[in-house]
Amino acid sequence: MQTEYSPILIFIFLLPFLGLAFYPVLVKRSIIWAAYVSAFICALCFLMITPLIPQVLRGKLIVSSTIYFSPQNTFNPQMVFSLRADAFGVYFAWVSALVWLLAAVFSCEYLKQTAHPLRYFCLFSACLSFVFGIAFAGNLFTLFIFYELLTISGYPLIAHEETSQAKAAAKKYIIYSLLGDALVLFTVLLVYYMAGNLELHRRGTIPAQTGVESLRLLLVCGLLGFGVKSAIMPLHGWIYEAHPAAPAPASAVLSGVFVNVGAYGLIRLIYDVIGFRLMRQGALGMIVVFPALVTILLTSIQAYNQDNLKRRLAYSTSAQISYILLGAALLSPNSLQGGIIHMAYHAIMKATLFLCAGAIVKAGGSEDVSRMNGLGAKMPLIMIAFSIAGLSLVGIPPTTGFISKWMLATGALEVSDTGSVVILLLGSLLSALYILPVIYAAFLKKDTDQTADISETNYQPAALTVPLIIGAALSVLMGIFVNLPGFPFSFARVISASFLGR
Amino acid sequence: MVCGGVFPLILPLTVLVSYLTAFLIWILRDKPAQIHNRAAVGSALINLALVLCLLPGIWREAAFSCNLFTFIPSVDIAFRVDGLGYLFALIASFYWLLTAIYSVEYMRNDKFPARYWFFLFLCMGSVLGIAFAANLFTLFLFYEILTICTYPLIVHAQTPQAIKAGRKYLVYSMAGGTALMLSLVITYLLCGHLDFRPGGILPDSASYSILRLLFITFMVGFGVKSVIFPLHGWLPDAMIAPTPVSAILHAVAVVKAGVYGILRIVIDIFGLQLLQKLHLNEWLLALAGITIIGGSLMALRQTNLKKMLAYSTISQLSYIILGVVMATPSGIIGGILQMLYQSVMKISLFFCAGAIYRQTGVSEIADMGGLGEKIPLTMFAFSIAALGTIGFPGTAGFISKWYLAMGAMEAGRFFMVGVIISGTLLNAGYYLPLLYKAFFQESLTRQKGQALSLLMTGPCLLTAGLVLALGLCLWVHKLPLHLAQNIAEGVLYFKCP
Repeated sequence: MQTEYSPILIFIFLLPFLGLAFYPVLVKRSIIWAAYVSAFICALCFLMITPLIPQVLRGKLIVSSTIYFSPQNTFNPQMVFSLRADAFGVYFAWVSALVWLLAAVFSCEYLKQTAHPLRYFCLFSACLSFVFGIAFAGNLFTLFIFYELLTISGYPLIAHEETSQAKAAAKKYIIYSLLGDALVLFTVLLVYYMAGNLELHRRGTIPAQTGVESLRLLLVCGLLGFGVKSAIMPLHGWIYEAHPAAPAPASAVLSGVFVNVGAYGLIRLIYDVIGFRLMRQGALGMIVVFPALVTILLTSIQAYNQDNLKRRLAYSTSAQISYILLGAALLSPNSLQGGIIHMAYHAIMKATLFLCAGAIVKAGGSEDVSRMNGLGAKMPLIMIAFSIAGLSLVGIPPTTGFISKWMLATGALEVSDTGSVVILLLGSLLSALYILPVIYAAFLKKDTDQTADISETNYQPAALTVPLIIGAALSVLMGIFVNLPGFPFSFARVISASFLGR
Repeated sequence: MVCGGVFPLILPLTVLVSYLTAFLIWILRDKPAQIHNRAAVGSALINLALVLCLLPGIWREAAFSCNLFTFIPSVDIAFRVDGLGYLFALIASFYWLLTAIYSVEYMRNDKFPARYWFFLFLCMGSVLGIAFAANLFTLFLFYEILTICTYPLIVHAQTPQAIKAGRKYLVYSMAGGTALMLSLVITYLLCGHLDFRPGGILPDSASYSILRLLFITFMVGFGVKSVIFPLHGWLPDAMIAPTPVSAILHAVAVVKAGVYGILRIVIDIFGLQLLQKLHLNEWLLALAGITIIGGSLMALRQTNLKKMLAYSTISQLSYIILGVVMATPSGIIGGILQMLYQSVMKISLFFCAGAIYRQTGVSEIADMGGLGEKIPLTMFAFSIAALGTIGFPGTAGFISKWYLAMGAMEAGRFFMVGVIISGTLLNAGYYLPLLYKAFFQESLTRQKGQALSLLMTGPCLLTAGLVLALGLCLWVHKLPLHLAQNIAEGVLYFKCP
């Protein structure tokens, strides 16, 4: 792989910390300025990543820094801080920056009068930086450090409102995540034991003669570890508590990016550490495919049973991330591409949906679906954005969700896994069952008993609606102009070619 | 390479300076407290300077030795410093300085300041004597002096509780001392001398059962101070001592002296190879593992802040033994680094605990709600040190635990990896709720935190800053790492300096 040395990744990584210098002064004057600065910084990050895209799409590896935490003499404990980016890393960082930007703009209105603004904005920015650290990690040591930092930084974001519900949710989150992180650490150490190094970007560092049993152990540990963040079925207990409790912009980044981080880690483990060849030889994909399918089915059913909109969306996140993992684990080019594009699609549409839910609450509405009758007339822009993103989640053409599901289904057929196709279709059906009633209630039901208690009609300030409209527009545009360079598909092709070695 | 010149004389000089300071303060006991304070801080500074003079030589892997006199044939009172001893002396003299500064403020209204300083500096001299001991006999000598001198510090408050804790300490330590005496005699009979030599001095030819017995008596001897599992009972009770004493007990003086003793017998008396032949390393690892998990489980159940910190020490110390006994490069480096870093973090935690008590009167964990707003600086320092003890990335504790875990993997000991990781999780289990209480819970009382003199906040912030600096800055981290690597090379390849 061609490498190019450039310090740009360090700048991108450090940029969000810039905000930390301003916030202490700004929050004393007015919170809204702190929110503007945080949005500005997200935009800057987004713009700084953009010029990297053509380079990585040509298959280059951008290498920024390698700092050895221990002298490279007799002993080599792999304590190397290394930032490098390939197409997958840049793609992930780019999508994350976009979601962060939407959430940050939304915060300008949503968190105008919040308590503890300093804590919130500092952590909101720092988390973006940690996500960049994960996306640009050149080895598992770096990845683990930022993974752990992200875990801890998530806690105050979830507990932000300091209600007893928020605290309980945050506690559940931190217990689940710390246990998961411990398993991630164990996975990293196992990789060291098997491969003797922790390098990423080599497409398979584990020696070919390693036994299938130990590979299975490694993958199971990795699945259980990364599975906590990506909310695989038995490990998803935190997600439906954390999302309703957190403030809406935090929910958006939690659902859009935090959850993706787990999937990102697992895909790195599968393709960069174990490698496509060993995965296929040992038929290891099944270890991930089976839990992913179970998750898709069961969490979709659970989502259908929730009346609270945010809880419903949280369960659906769990299911959607499993599509990504399924795509990665089916080990066929089409499904891998489907999984990778779904990362971006899911991030954007789920962030939009959560922000819409936040906007409804902000306007004084209820979080319960049963009390949303006639909302469409009262806040049309917001509900239209919700509907578009929701239809995309269901996978109705020509929205984005359709394309990723199409790719996943064709990929599953490539490896003749009909069972997966059936469950994929069932999952789509179920997602229609839990999203469409919301849209139906908002636009077609009459608010006869005045349950949707929104006093102020047309509460639609620009800071709330603009990110929603952009998000909704992107979930359609990305579906229509799917082949444009810079859109997810162009990344997915490069990434899958490099992962699968073609 | 053994250096001549005046440098070796520094070794007895440091011990002498501390002892002389102690007696000087005793002579001046009727003079105002300010004079004691100046003498104490000045002497601690001189000691640190003297120890730092040795650094260039140690960096080049030189060793200094100095024979005072022969006690009985082939048993000398002799000093010698190598990497391990130097590290121990360095942290001891550094923390002594901080503790002295901290004590000036903390002991301001104390009834017996001269007694406090007297025994504190006797302890200091003994710790340096232990660090610089060239043979088992010298080490034993200072070890016993340390035991005796610590007693008045523990019972300093003279409450019935304190007297009881002191008695418990004395009973445990004296029993340990007797066991140590016995092992000294056996070693002398087996080898004819008691010098420390990398690779061990005990002959392979000796009967294995005698060697195993010898190891057990050694472990009983040093295990008391290093609070290895069944011998840890005195430490939580000894928390009754004034906070700076607890800090120094936990970070350097007593418990580290015990661990240092164990490392010396493992490395220089038995040698790792003989240990493996006797299968004693497995036992020691198991014991360390039990102590790590057991200490943490006990810490989870504590309601008093200082007691919780005490159990945390019990568990953290065993990582050192765990690392060295695994006998892999990363493991040994991890053990040595843990010895250094644990002391930074623990001394910081105790300084903060003392500051919290002074500022708000809080000593129970349940009362810690809302402290983050009342005393932000102290709680900030406390959080950093607590996160460091957990082993959070970006702090010193992460580096040592990473090395330990890598070492366990190099040895192929999955079980020990499990112990290290679950120990870390348990640490998180009792430190994170504290931080949660301090920062997310409402305070029970309206009472505001009192302002604190710089003499107390300074050491808190400095040590907390050090925890961060060691974890983040490459060049701060370089000194301990270089020394630890030299030690590891010496241990593994018997490279005698």
